[in-house]
Amino acid sequence: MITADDVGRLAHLARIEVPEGEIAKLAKDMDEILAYVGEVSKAAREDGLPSLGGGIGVQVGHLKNVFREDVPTCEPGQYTEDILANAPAREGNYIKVKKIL
Amino acid sequence: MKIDTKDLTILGAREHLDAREFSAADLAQAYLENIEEKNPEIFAYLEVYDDVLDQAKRADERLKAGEKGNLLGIPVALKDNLLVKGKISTSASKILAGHRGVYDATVVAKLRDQGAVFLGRTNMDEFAMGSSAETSGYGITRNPHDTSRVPGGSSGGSAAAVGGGMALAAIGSDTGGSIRQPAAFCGAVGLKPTYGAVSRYGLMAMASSFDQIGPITKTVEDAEILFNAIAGHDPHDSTSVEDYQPSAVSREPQVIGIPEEYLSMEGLDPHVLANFRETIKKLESRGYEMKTVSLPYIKYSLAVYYILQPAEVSSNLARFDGIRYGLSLDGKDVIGAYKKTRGQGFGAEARRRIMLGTFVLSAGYYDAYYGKAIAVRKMIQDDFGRVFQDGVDLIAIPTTPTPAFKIGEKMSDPLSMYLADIFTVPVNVGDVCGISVPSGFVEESGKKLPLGFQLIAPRFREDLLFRAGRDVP
Repeated sequence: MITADDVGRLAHLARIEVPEGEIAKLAKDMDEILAYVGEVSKAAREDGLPSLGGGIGVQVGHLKNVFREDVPTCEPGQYTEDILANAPAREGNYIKVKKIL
Repeated sequence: MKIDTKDLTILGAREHLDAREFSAADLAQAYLENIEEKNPEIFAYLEVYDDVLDQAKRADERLKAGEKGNLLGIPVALKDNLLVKGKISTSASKILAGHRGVYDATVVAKLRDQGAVFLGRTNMDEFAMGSSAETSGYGITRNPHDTSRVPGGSSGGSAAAVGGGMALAAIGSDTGGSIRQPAAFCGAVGLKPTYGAVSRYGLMAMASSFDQIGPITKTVEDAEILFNAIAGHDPHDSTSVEDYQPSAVSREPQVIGIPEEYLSMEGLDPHVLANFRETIKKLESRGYEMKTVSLPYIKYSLAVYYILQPAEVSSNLARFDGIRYGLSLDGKDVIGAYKKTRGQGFGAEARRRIMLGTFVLSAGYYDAYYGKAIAVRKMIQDDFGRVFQDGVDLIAIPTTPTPAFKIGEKMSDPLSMYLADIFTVPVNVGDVCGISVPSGFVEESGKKLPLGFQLIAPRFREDLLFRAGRDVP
């Protein structure tokens, strides 16, 4: 059962401000969705599932260990202006951020 | 000259262009006029590019110089989650308002090199999360066959553009059905290629272990042309495979597997089932053999998907923090600024999925949800593998459980919206490829609503989809 407190905690972890008025509905929706997806544990009970070596039981895609040379792939400054043009705040060639510490 | 675009295909337009019966500029102009007429009501496009005719004139110059190419001068629409250098792309999210691509997505670069003309960027569910294009931050798209209904999603704008005559073809992305489901709803062909067949470089990541880019077209032949144009290895996407030959010729598909147990599930509209059975009969009359197959784990596909996908979403969407691009709102400290930006920049569905993903990955729940889902995903992949090794070339199921639903019908009930993908999600979870081909209509309150017939092939066997897809009525 997902409570309003749980929603508040998840919202904090996900760095999302949720309006007070949406919390109850969100808890109810998440509860329904989690009850549905909880079906996977039935699959797990019916048959033996493949063992999960440290949680990694299935490979996505068909490639392993794709390497490339560890070298620069663009000219210095090639994308600087375009990237900074997207930034909400800049100072010189830096993205300006709020004080963290 | 006035071009009749109604029955025009990529193949047909190619012949006219090569025979100089019309120019790429004429063709682009015809589509711009269609867009001007229809887009205000349908809202397939978020933006029509201001350089469409310039692009078309460049294609004409290449044609005049004697260049040949399947896509030279062909007008194509792009989903708003693809990066185009210098142009805005937002994934239909307010959090990326005004964001401009710093480079071309590989798919975009390939199409550009081959002379395709980009008409504009199409509406979609925000960050491709939805089955109706209603979660867009910029407004809803309407189904061109019945404007009181949704076009499907998430590539709803791309499908509505093709189905509504506003593009000759479009590019979409499919994470759990986002190409095939809207294609079915809008009367178009939609292909979800095998994971690794098409580079994802420059596609805004939603759920990285499922996302694939693919074509939405009017015919199966056109889907094959567009797929061949975008497929192939890309050093920028380490999950794209190296040795894949999309056009490799192989045997004719003969045996089609029907997972009868999956067709008996609740929620499948009897009209959809009847249309599916009719299509099967027609395929039998064309020499295909039908065989009942069992995939005992596919009934868990949607549950698996709605654990793994939100989990991947919660980490992929962590990058939207108001620091590097898009919306940036101030708060009392840095955490407060993140929360405000993300709280107001993301719509309700994006917020819900990020929080669901945060939940299923959190300590104490990881094994019960994520761990189990990963294991069941493997069982589903094994189900497909076993059936395809057992003398079955293709599997057929309907693309959607119902025809296009009404606007607003499912928006207050997220789980009912998720169930709209019940027949498309197994393909993504099972790591195979699938195509939706129009299979007729069902009439509801005087409107003819398109239906889709879905064929599924083993991984990297898109050729089988194209062969058999052409035989679908």
